[in-house]
Amino acid sequence: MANKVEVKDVFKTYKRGKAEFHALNGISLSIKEGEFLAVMGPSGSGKSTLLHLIGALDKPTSGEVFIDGVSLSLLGDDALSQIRREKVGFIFQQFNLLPTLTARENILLPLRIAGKSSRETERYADEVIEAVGLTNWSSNLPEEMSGGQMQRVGIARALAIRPSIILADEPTGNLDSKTSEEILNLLKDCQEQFKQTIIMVIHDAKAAAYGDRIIRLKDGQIDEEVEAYSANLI
Amino acid sequence: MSVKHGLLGLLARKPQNGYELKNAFDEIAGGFWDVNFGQIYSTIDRLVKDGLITASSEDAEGVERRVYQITQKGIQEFKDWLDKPSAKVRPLRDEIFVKLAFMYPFDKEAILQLLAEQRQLYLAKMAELTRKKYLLSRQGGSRDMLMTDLLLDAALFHAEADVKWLEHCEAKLRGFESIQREEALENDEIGLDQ
Repeated sequence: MANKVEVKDVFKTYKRGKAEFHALNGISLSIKEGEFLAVMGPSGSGKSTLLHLIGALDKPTSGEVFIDGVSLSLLGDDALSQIRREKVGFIFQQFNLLPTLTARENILLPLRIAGKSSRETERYADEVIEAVGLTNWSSNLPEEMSGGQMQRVGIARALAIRPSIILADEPTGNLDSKTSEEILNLLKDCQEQFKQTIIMVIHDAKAAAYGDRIIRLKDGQIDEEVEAYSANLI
Repeated sequence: MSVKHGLLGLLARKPQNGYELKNAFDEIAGGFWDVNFGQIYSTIDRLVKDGLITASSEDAEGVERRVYQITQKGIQEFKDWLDKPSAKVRPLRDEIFVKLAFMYPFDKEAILQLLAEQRQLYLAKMAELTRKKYLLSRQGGSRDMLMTDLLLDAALFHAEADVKWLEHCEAKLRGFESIQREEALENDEIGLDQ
């Protein structure tokens, strides 16, 4: 299968006063289309930075990130924001919902911003709302919902644009274990049913176990890599 | 669950022969508990001797087969057992711990390597258990599926605890090493001063 994402010898250096901090330290990584990759590692190991670079939210200091074989470094700002709007769906730990909009309005927001709001895209969004189990909550405000419901909104918002890549940063960080399981099953559905490529940053081993491959970062490099189905169980 | 109480529980549902009991036990244990026919039959003999079950013969197409039935005493024993929490804490007989005890303090790098490999193995197992759980969740919910799901959860929580314990071991061994190194450095400095 083709590589959906390729990260080639990427460095990301932040300056803190006179000191330099290497968030990513020459990391290389290939992610296949339809793969579910879990990224673990201690805080400061570069997990979120990696996710931001793949999502074209930030640029590497050196090295290259390819999406569908296209180097992001060759693209201008317009093309980059087009990738962010059309190819990549983001899911955050803090949900990042707008408090004055209903669930459905939050979910439709990226479509409206992209100028892609139409009867057809809104109908698809409503299908997504049903698929994540929010039909009865679509006109509620975030403050009227539980953490699990808010994260369902977050997932539906990411899916509504029909992204081929889903980037999730600690999506279950604020949820109890039963709700986490439901949310992670939903993400797994995205991979299984819609063949979406999923990259999830997570510190919890139980959540990471949803990945086909689990990598652990340390000091901005890949320290360990575990293929999920290599173990002989029982 | 002991084999004894497992069999009593199964016979409380309906009378069964040894073969049926073995299959039903395997189903409940969800593949996590390897019980062979020998254990099943020796437990059955003990239960008959203790008056907790009785045996009767059944003619199955010319072949005589023993069918077992739970007695009133057996039902009481099973209910008493069911109502009590398990007092025994899971035994900690981890092979890796024995290895550690023999390796330390000879080869710290080899220990850290062993711990990391073991942790990766548990992580891969967790992924496989998670896969089973996910596939189960796609099949809709029945009572038996819920029980299997809960058993898979138990296996996952234990594997997670193992992963955390191994990480903890790695961190402590590294920490202990750096303390030793600092002490050695301090001793060197003292040595230089003299």
